Amino acid sequence: MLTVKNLRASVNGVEILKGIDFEVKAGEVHAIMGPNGSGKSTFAQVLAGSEAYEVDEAASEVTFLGENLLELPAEERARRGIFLAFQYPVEIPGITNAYFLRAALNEIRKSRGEDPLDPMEFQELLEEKMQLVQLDSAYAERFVNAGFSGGEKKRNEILQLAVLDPKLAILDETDSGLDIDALRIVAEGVNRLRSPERAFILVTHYQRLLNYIVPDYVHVLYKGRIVRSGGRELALELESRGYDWIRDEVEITA
Amino acid sequence: MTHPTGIRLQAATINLLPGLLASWPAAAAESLAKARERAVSLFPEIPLPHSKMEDWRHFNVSELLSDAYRPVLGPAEAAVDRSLFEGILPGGETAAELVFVNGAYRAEWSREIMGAGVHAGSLAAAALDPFAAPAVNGSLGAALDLRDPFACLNTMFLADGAFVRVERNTRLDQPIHLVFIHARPNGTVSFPRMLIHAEENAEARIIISHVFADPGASSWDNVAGELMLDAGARLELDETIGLRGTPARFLSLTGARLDRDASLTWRIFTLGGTLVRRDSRVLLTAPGANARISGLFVNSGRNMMDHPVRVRHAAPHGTSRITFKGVALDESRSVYTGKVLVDRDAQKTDSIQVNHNLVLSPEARVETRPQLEIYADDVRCTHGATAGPPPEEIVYYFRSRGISADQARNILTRGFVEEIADEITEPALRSAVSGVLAERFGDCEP
Repeated sequence: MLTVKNLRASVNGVEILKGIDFEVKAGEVHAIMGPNGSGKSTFAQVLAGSEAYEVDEAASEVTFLGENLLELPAEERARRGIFLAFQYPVEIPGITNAYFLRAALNEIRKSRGEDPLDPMEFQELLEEKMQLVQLDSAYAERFVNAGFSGGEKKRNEILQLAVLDPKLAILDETDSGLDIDALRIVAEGVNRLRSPERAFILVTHYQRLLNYIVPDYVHVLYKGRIVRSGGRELALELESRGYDWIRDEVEITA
Repeated sequence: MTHPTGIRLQAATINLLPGLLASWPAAAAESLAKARERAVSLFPEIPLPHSKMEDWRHFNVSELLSDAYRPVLGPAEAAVDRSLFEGILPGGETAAELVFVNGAYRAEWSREIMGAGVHAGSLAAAALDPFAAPAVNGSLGAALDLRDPFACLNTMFLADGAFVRVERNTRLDQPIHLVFIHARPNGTVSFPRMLIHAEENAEARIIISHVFADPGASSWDNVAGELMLDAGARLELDETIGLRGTPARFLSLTGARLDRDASLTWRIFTLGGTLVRRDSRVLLTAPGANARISGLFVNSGRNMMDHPVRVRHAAPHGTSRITFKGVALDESRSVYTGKVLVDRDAQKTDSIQVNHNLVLSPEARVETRPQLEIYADDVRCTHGATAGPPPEEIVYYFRSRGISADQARNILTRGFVEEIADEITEPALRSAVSGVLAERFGDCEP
């Protein structure tokens, strides 16, 4: 589904991603872990199409379902089935959740050659998906993230994921700042959205999330490179030994 | 009726005004005549505004004053018909609807009320009516600062206007609609006027619609209004400028005076105009008064809009909320100047003032100057302002969900303007304002 080869990206001339190789197949759940500043969020944002980073397009290769992803603007990536759950979702005063999501879904449907959903049809879909993340129906008419608590914002990201039905969902530190109840709701939502057709990339600093969402693969990102890959046990090892262990090993071998 | 010669508001020609006034229709009622005389005697002492004055620094006053204007009262040469205002509040029921053409009352198009605690009709008629005249006498001029040259000029030519009085303890369930039709050719000025008085514990909603019939580029509407709220009165006022048609030169000053525990909710929608100054001044005279003023202006082309808002807290425990929003397109120039003045005695004042501007074109210019002047020491007052295009991080959030940047900006603009429109409680007016906004910014209504 997604193939990343030698991905290099920088911001203000400082290279953050220094050659990432990475592959995701449909149905897989990959966790990307790493200490602060390792480039995890940059990786997530670059995949989603953020223009805040300069991608070295000569060196890098990213294909998604056979297409060169790097040539596509953010909105086209979303329409092709990439979804990024933001670490810091923005507040949009004046625009209701229902309106925002319907506009987004209909853009995506339009690009697939499907008819747009009218407000009634959409309302039905929205209400069904809202149950998934235990948001009550009043949320539909609230302005996007405006005045939401941290936990509500993250649940709202998962709601959007559920409605937009992407092929590849990238969750950028969706777990950070959540209390255990909110974390559980978010994780349950994600688990119910797992399917053989959909892949997930979970970017996280903490192993805690992986108690609830069991990944197929765990990768450790350090200084802009993936320095370890393994199964779930790698996350547990990181939890018990901390990132210093990785840091020491990588610095020594390098 | 049209005056034979024009006035040009310049020091050298001010002397001509008495001559012009002499041939202006006489005020039959003593109260109107007195108000006029007072204005006439005051006018020569008021300095004419110029761009070096702080209050006029950002307004193109020289453009306004460079032309000569013939005063008009009632229909001039321009065509005026009912279609200008019919159906303007679709499906909305009103307690009364008063229609004015260039400031003169049009009885055959109006539905007035007299009695049952409410009087809504022509000011000229009320001033002659033995039952209403004392009320006109008691309130006319009480809330308007005649030291403003344009309010003074309006009063010099006072002949008619809207008069609404809601008697004490009377509650009106349906709104009163005041329609001001401005329909004049180039080189004319009219002086529409309104006087609204809500007595003790009265409750009313008033909708003011300024509509325009293709005004000439140099036609000028010089409007003045007064709002008197006695103790405990509650008035909700929605005012639109340009729901139909667009003004050329439009100056309007409204003064409001709030007594103890009175509550004023006032929304102003300036939807267009070449040269517009909408000046709102509120005085909280007694403890516990509460003023909420919201505004939305949409400025485009090479037009100029100026919205000065002044709230003075002269007594303790007052509350004021000022929320003004602006959308600046093309090469427009917009000014917001908000001043909250808290007197030394006005302890426990609670005031919040915000002005947000969405600047949709790099050539548009917005000046925002929210100000606070506080002489009391135990108050809670805040003010804030923003001006700029939709934040890129928000546009990117839309894009990450499959919505293009252009569509994102349209949706954001619509959301930005709808926030104020949504506050309108009268559904018919809300949908009318919303409809105009949809026309301007795309139909993004969920």
